[in-house]
Amino acid sequence: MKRREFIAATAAIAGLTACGQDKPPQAPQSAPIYKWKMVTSWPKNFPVLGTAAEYLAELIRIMSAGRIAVKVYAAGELVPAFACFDAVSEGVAELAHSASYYWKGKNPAFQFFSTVPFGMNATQATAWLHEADGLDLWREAYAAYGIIPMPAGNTGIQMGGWFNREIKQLSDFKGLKIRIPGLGGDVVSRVGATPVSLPGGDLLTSMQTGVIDAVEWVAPFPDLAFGLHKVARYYYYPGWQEPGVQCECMLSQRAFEQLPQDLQTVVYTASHVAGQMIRFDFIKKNNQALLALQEQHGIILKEFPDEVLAGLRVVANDVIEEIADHSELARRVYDSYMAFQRKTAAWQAITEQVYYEMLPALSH
Amino acid sequence: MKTYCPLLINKTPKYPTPSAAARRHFLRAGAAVASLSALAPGLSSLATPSSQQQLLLVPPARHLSWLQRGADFFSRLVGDLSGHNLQFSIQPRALSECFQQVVDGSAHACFAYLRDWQAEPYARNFFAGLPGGLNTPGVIGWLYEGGGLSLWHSVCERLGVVPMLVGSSGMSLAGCFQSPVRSGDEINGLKMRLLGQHARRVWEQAGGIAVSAGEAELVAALHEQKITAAEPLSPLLEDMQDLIAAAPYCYYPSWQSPATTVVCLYNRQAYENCSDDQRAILIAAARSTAEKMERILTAENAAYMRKLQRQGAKFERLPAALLTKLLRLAQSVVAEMSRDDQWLTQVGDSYVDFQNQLLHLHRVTESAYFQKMMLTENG
Repeated sequence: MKRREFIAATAAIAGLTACGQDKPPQAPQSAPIYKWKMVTSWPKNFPVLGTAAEYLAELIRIMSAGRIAVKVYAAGELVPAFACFDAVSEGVAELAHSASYYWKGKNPAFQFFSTVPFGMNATQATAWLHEADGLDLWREAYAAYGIIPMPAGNTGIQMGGWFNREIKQLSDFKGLKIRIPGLGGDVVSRVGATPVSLPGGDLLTSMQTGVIDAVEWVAPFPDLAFGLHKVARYYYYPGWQEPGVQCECMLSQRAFEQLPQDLQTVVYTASHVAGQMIRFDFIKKNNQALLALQEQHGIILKEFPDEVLAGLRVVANDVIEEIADHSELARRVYDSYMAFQRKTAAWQAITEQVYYEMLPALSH
Repeated sequence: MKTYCPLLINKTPKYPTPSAAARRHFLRAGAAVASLSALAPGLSSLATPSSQQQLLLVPPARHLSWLQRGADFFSRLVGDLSGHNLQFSIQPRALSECFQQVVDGSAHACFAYLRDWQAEPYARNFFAGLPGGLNTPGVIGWLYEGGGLSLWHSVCERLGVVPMLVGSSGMSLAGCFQSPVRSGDEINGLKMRLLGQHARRVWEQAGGIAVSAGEAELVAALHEQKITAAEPLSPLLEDMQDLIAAAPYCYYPSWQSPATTVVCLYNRQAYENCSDDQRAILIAAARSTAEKMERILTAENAAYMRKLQRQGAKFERLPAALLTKLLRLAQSVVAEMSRDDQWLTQVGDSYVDFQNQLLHLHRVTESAYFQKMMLTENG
């Protein structure tokens, strides 16, 4: 995306007109300038997720009056997509924009901080992180690596994925090679599929060459952007495996400690505000893309049968419980997550749930 | 002082107060910087240096813990983000004074429900929350992604204020009733205190009697049978305890407004006096506060709900036929409100278009989540 287009796009998000000139805001002469690198797990200029990272860098610059300058690197430009965690931990970059379930090899408990199958939606997960002990646990989990995690947006409920075979029963997963990361991958492996983890840029080719048979990426807008409708017939919902992926901004503990308090708060808050862009940008763009997929590309929208969802939920519960057995920390994260999900369910049931049940009556 | 950022490491800030020379340098550089004019079209593009400002924030004087917590959070966050160059003093005012003081410049900002700006119905309507309208994610999506924000600014500019969304009730209760409502017929002649003018119109068209009891005498009015039902003033159940004690049948959903907005209205001249970074800080703080207000409700209301149930409150769903009737009436009332006004028609079209778009997406996302995936309280 050209800089001018980016500015126009991002300005609308927060109501900010980012500084449109070539000359950025100048910090007072006596103030140190912090020049940071941000690596990401997203392809260059990738819609929503990639632009949110760019927007985060811009917001930090504006809010800090130019005292922090962040250069953003797409996946592969400085480090590969799945090397962001190590890049921050080892001081290659000060920031990274990614999602914690990519680092399950470090500790399976990290996955709770992105999403878990049949887990909390964006509203609940955000409340767990900030109003309960979710964020404290996340910080504790990353502390050994010298990384401070900051919530940086939520995708909202995703789609269930692209298939060329109808999923009528649980056994229809058998033999499929599916690009599906995180715990969702663990679940489908137990019903006979082979989960594959691939970065977004490789998905279309992998489907075309038969490396994978099915693919779960994000939601209508990014899926359309990657052309996944060209390689699969059926588009399934709901995204049982990812009811809202929490994105993260990883921050080097060492770099953070160099900042004065006001800039520490600026970085933290900017991560937050830029994260909102992801949630609401997705809402608008996903809707437009879903219409385009159905009306212009003729995809077949399918709902997973209740029997399939029920079977996947049983397996998912086992998978998640096993993670809790991995370590004392994982157990605490699991207990906290599940307790909050149950605790907030009663209010959700009589408020947001009813709103969505009312939707047919709200159509104009 | 307690800080907002939970990650803060307590130490003396390393960033020195800019010298006068540094400020002049920044002023020159800032002059080359574009303004935040998309936020408030027409604002000066000249950036002024970051400077210390003592600011006055006036929330309503009535004690609603949810609003008070939001105002405190916003104030503290702005202070922390600006290195305490922007420092709010919070001084509650009578409701009618909150808005007026911002308009006339005797306060920098207020923090209140937009629906309560009785003097400016033109500014509040679609932005304040509507019967059968958008819920919280929908309102935020419409404002920031659907063109709503520029429409909002266009009317607020004329009034000399800059609007910032700082909270939303989300879905809440339809009202607290003294007796159960088992059918639509039972609301005929039922006196209910309702807050929004459009909701009052819907209620009366449905056969009820809408009453505008004052806030102070609300609970007394219930005890004295002047009214038999009331819409809660706050979505936080902690704020509703007295109300629920007087009217224990708590009906949901809030057909009157799935998202009643809380706004920080900022005096435009005061806003223009801020530097670019300070304006960005105000906007970012407002957005963070809006999320904070939503999180409080999500995290705390279920526990308050259980507590109230133990004390005798009964949470019940409105009869389906009555809810459908109210929502249908709401649509016609909302359509009427913009019929003879070109500007309101433009706003209304934008709002309704966005709402209709969302219906399609929600069918495969949020609706499916709540119907098929959400964990219940009992697992």
